[in-house]
Amino acid sequence: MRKFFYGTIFLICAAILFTGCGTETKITSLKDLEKGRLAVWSVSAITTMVQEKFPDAKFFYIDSVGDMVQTLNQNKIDAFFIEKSRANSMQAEGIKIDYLPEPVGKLRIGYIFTKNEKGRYLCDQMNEFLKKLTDSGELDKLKDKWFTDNLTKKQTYEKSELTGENGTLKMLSEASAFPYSYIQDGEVTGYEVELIDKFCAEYGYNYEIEIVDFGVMIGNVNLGRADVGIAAMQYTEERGEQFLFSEPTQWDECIAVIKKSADNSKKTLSDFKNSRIGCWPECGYEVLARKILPDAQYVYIDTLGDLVLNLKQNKIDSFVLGKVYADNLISSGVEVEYLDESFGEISTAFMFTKSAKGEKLQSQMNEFLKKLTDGGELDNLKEKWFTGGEEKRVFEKNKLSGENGTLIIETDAISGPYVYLKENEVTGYEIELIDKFCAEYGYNYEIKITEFETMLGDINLGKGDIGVDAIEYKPERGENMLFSNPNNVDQCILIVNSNSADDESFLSTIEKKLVATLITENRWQMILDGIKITLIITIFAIIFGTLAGFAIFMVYREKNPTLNKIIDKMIRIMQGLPQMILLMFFYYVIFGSVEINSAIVAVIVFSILLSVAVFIMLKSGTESIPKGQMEAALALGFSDRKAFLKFILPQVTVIFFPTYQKTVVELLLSTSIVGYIAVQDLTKMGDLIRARTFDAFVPLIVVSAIYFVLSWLLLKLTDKILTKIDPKNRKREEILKDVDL
Amino acid sequence: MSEVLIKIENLTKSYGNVTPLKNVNLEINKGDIIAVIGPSGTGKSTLLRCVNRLEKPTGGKIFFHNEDITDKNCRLDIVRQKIGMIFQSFNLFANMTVIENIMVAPMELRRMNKQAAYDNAKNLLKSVGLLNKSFNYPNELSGGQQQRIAIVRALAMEPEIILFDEPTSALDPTMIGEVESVIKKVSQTGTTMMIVTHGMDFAKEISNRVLYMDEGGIYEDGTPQQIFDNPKRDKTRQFIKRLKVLELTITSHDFDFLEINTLIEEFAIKNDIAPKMRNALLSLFEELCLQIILPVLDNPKIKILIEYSKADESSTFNIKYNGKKFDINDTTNDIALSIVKGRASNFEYQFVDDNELSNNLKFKVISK
Repeated sequence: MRKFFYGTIFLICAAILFTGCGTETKITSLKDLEKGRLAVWSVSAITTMVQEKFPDAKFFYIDSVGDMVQTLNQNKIDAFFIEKSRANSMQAEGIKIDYLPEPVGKLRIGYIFTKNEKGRYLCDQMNEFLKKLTDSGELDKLKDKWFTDNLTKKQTYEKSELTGENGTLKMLSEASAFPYSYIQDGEVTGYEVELIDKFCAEYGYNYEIEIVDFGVMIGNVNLGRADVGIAAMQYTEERGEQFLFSEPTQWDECIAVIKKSADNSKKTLSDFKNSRIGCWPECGYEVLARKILPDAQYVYIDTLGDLVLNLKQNKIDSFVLGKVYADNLISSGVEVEYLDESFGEISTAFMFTKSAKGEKLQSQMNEFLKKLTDGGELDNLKEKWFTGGEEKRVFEKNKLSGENGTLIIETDAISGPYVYLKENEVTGYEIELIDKFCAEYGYNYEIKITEFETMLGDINLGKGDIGVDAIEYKPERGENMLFSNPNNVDQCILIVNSNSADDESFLSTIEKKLVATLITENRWQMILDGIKITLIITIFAIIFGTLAGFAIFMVYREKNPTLNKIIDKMIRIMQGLPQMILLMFFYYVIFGSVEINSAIVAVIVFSILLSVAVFIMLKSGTESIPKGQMEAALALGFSDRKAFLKFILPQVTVIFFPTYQKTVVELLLSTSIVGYIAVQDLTKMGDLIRARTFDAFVPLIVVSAIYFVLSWLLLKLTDKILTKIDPKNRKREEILKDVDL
Repeated sequence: MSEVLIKIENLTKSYGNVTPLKNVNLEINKGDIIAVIGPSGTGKSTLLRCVNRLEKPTGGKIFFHNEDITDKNCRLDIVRQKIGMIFQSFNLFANMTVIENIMVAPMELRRMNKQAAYDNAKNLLKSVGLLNKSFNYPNELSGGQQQRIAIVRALAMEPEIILFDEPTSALDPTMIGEVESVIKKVSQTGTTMMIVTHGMDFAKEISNRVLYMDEGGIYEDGTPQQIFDNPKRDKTRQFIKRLKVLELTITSHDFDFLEINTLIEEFAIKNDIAPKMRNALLSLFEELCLQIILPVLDNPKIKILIEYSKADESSTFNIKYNGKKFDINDTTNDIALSIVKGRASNFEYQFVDDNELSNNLKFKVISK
């Protein structure tokens, strides 16, 4: 108990400690940054602009773009602000950043001149020059050249022949504003530089460009010690008072740079030629995908939830599925995307038994589907369930007369939005269809949740009437089952990951996942129900199993040779079968054609397993008690049975109690396989939750912890029983009750 | 004439290829205190355990008060309530306290109420001085204490006969006394008792009848005085006197002398016979057999029986031979005779005509 307590304290402290280190929020628009942590230069036009736009944000002043990038990647800031052109050039250099398309504001870029006569003169000349180039369209050509998309191409310009008849202009530049003015092959080059070169050629100047710090440049131009400042200067009112600004040479944008997400929008199907593609086994999705990507490595994964998990854990690069599923994942907040190109079409349908009843249902369903299609109702349903948010996905259940019987609907309830579990009820596109169908044709219906394979078996045998599981329409399967016409036609697309998973704080997301697992949609109720079922099965199995084992042993003591031989053989057989096989044997073979609650089948199977263990314990325990005590009892005149019950059994019980405890706890834990025969125990509930949250970690931890606590309680309970039945624990008064000493 | 409590008729018990009991017949009278003695493996315990049917006889019948308890319809549990048994390994019930061990059978089987059972148990424990151990568990007690309680447990059922299967064999010598004194007390109450035991002195002291078991049955049956002091039959005698026996046979003049010598030596070593005695035996054989008797026989047939008593470390030499009557005193080999006479005493000579080995000479061996 102590260790449990300290462990919890430790976890809480760790959580508090680590929550400081960066929370992960998804930023999709400027709005998301309103209260964010933003980095800007100490002094720049951008700084003012950003501060005005985000008055409530927290600001960090970082004067190096490199530092800004690093701080961003360490999640210490949510965004930093620079010019769009600079951001593009950084991306071209391979720096992994992304920026929001929405600009914060426009930036007017120009040259600065000293605020004196000469400067005024130069500035007017420059403006005249710029107007000329704009009118002729040359300025646009220059812009296209320098602000090209292909930023990796080295740009050059031909230096003009300069006479310098009107003097030499002293120019200062920081030369670190790509593509305005920067250093290439040891020389200053760039848009602004080529422009100034042409200007000088036009107006008969020569020029010298000295590379200096920004601050030095400003100071010197201010004082008139330099003529022109070239540094992709952004105009602000303040600056306008200090210098003369030329007319804008370029307009740029201030954008918010955010962490890079996986850039999938530019990818095509062929990019995944040799990748690992996850898919359901034996599905049409794989068949379609293989036609286009035959060389990819196909990995078979059973459930949608596990496909997502494998993708997130990078065990596969992508998976193939239907668009409906993909849209549903995205609207549930799962960070995936899908490529626009489709592999082909996949249809889903309902499944019926190959029998007279099944054929009747099939034709009724087809008639029904046609009616809904013609009336347009089917499209409405599709829109409701396949697009839009979870809040819209409700439907009013019809009042069903059931005059024509009750249908058993089988599903595994993890194929959202076709059929899934919400607040402990099965719902979905196909379920609403079923509900309306039953209302139309006078049926009532019962939904049974089970594994996919079990469902196939049940429909095959006629134990279930309709299989509802977004089942792929495969007429070839028609040898064993019947299919309705398709209830939906979907596109088969490739789904990929859409967020970068590095530098995520581990424990900070635990809180989110815990909420999703336990609180959302009152999922804790599902867990509680699961615990109930697990405990019921366990306790009944313990009671019946122990009594049965004891009874069989007492029969064995009679030493009837034929009976004992049969008992020995049966015990041997039971010991040699895996529990799962035994469970399925009883469900499919022994109770195959019987209407019986699956939980009862589970209780029966586990009772049998326990009775075998109890029998063996009693047998070997009895053999280990020295024969003499039995003989003494017989010699006194006790019958064999009385002697066994009074003298031998109490000793055997005490000796074997620890083993019994262990066996009983193992039984509790073994019940986790009953999900296979459609019993919603604790493990199955965990699976169902996992299928909705697409997170394996938290549901498994929660379920494991609960099993641990349950088995601990079971041990404590049985310990108490042991102290009660151990003869050596009796007090003197107890032994001599009703007796005068 | 006492009433016959138990009658055993032609009892046979075999396990696989071993048959410890063959056609045993016995009548146990009321009030008898029978001691059953004999070497190991002779069926003593088997006989005892057949009486309360813990062993199932392979043949024969056993009657308890004229009721055939070997019949398959017999209610054994009821019969057994009148027959008590004490085991070599005590066999107290490990999951019950001492007092409960004694109370449980009367309460369960004789419907005694708890108070009465308790009072009875208390008195019995008092009589063996173990009342203060009432609430102990058997594994907290010594062997002697456990056995005394076992006896008391049997007595609580007021049986008509109590069977004791080697009650002191598993006890260390210091505890044998306390158990024997309890058994002695029981013997003075008039309860019929049958005790398998290795304690001869004790058996002699309390029993009125002794059975020596050997050769698949009751070999000799008599009073303690008869059996212990004057055993009639050879094996009885050998057992009582703890005799070690060596048998030698000579059938020709050309017998292997060395072989016989070796046999005698091995016998001596095996039984820890003192060297002086051993030499005496060797010498007696050589002189008597080789020098005196063999020469006068044409077709010699000689049987020698040497009995060594561990009890008093004495030996008797018994030699039987064929041919006409010949007393060794009539021998011509004076030297041999005097040697023989020097090492022997209590000569007894007999000539029995209708026996092949008609000459029979017995004497005691002297070892100086």
